[in-house]
Amino acid sequence: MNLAPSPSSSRTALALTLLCAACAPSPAAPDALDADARSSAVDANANANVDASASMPDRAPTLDDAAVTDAPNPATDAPDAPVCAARAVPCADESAMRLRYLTVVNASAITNEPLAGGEFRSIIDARAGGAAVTQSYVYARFTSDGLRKLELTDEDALRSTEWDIALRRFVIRLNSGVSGPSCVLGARASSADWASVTAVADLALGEERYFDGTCQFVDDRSGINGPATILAPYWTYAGCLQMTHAIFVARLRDGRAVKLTVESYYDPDKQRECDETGMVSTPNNAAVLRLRWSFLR
Amino acid sequence: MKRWAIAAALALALPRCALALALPRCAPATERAVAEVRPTPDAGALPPSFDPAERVERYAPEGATVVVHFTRDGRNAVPATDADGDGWPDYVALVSETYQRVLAFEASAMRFRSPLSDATLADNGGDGRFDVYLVDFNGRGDGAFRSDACDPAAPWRCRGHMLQDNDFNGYSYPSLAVAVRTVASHELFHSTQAAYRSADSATLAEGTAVWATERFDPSLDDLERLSAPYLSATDRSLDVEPSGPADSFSYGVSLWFLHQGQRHGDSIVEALLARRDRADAPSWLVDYRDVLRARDRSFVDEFNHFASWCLFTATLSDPARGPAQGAQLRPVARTALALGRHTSVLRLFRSSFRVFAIDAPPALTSLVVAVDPASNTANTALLVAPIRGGRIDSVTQRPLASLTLDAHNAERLLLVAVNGNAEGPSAILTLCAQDHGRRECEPPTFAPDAGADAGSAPPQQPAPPAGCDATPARTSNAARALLLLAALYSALVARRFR
Repeated sequence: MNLAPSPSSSRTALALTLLCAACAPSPAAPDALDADARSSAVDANANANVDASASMPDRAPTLDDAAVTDAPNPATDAPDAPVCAARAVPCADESAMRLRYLTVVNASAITNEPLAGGEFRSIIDARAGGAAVTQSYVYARFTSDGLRKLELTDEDALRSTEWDIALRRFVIRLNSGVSGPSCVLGARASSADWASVTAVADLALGEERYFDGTCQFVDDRSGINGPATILAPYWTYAGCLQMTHAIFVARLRDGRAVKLTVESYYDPDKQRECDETGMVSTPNNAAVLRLRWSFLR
Repeated sequence: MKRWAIAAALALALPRCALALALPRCAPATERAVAEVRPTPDAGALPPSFDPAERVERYAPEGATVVVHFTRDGRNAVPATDADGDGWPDYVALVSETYQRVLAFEASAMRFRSPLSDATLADNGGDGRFDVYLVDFNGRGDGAFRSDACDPAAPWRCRGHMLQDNDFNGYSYPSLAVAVRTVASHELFHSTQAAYRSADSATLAEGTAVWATERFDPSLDDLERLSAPYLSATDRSLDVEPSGPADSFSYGVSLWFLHQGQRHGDSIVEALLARRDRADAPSWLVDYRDVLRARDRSFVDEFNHFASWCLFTATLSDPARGPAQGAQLRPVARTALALGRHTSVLRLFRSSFRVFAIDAPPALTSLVVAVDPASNTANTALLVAPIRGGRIDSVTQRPLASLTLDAHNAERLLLVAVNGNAEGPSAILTLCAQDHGRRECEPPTFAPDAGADAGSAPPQQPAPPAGCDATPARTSNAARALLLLAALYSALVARRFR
């Protein structure tokens, strides 16, 4: 944790400096950050004096700017050099408050089912202790062996570039923008046909922006006040969480890209019940998500 | 939670007034709810509503201030029982009588504004009286207030109507009378709120609505039951909006209004709503701070008192120092504090508090507090509450800083870190307790990583009790005795809550 007694007007710059020094990308290490070194520097943008434009760039900062390395080999689990450096997370204090960040690592596991064509179905227990959550998000990284869980608390994750995706209850976040210090960008694919999504090419990928430049919360307009994450359109709410089967594309920090879709929020048979009737009976294993995904070649 | 058997079966339904489609969180009147049509046949209203084949009747006896709309046939039919043989279903009469009592109580006893009249609306249920429609919620909530229209000159003020379940069949209310009293007092308060400011914060709307039910009929158990989500998460700010379909924290904020109402009367809540009767209202906590200021009260003091008050629940109940209904409330959530170990780095958000417990504490317990100086530490405090003989002995307020505490003969020591700000970023800190002069806390694990001047607030050694030249090093028995005396003195002069 950086406990820098900097004047508020200069906190952003200092925080950024400290953060980048602390978490210089080191893909081979399990987590370049001290797990206990939770950030206060990332709170810098909570201060009203902070220049919002400095902390919330209008576009993704690095993917297009950085010298992109050769195309990575998705067949290995050794990511290529990252294409972005870590940076301070804007609106971290607001995120911690609004998204209820906790300091308890999520104890659940991720199960990966290999599918044909190098695809996976990952089953993520994102219940986090129930509707009144008691555990952090499930943080995970896409690997050639499947979706791999990382042992991070929500506070740790504010300074970790090792994770790609975070899941808890109905919320799924990518590690970028106001969500994390990395540059995992995403977008909803224009096609609803899984097989036809083969490249990132024509997609305008973006970072997470569920807080605006003045750290005001941006909700998903669902009526249940969720954060407007990139993946929020995977569901609609009509008495229960109905699946849209939207397909998303995410470009990871190492330059690789994945396509993914959330198949179910409830047990599959209960999900069908919800999708067809707008109601879901119990027990239904709400928040045990099934994610179908694969690397894009 | 037995009352909500059906709602629970729907997994994501909410405890009160979940509107099935558009407003699953029971927003009292959101913008999207404005100009909703009445749930009459062929009106095209969102469900629940009457079916086209159903014949809808009006019940409005002479002198009644509300009109009840109901049907005797179809899926929305009310219970047919007519014990008094007056030709009207008893349930309908019960609804009418209860709503009139609630309206009268809120306006006369609590002195809030009455709901705005719908007399000028084309679709107004027949006249300017308040309309209640009895329709089948089918387990997806049990009642709702819906806005019809807002004032052109003051579009934040709105008028509307009520929906209530037609029979509460399948719910687990102990009686229809309890069901109607509970729903009427809660939902009608949303119509009262709309006379000041509609589409307001969920924590304010639901917190005051649950409080209004408690004020109307303290025998109802809504507040006792719905306060649990707050007492289990006092580390959340009072005004942070709930997120997700099943977040009932906002209902638990009723405890804050119960506390404030008991200290300052119903008028303090009315004053808050009245202050929000303007176009650009900030967070309701900021408005509330200003309401208190106008009465020469401090939000910080009130919130510190509230944090202390919340300790007196469950087995620690003490109506003289906590909620009158404290024995029926769950205990406030606590985190065990192990001697010699720092907590994780914690954020202490505005208007929130965290309770820590040390079991079998040393007679002189030292607390090491490391605070991020770049965070907002203004208006923070530490409440110290030793438990002796199974009850809280006292609650004293100290600065949120390293200090030595008298825990002599205490079986447990409760420590409460409080952030009494109404706005602004959080305070960031860690805590570590140690046996004074014996087991020392290790340095916190978040040592500064940017040079010596990077400014980690080095954890101060606990300040020795006033007037005592003690050090945290090994101390003699005589010195320990002096420390104890000094700690006792310090406790006496510290602020104490009663």
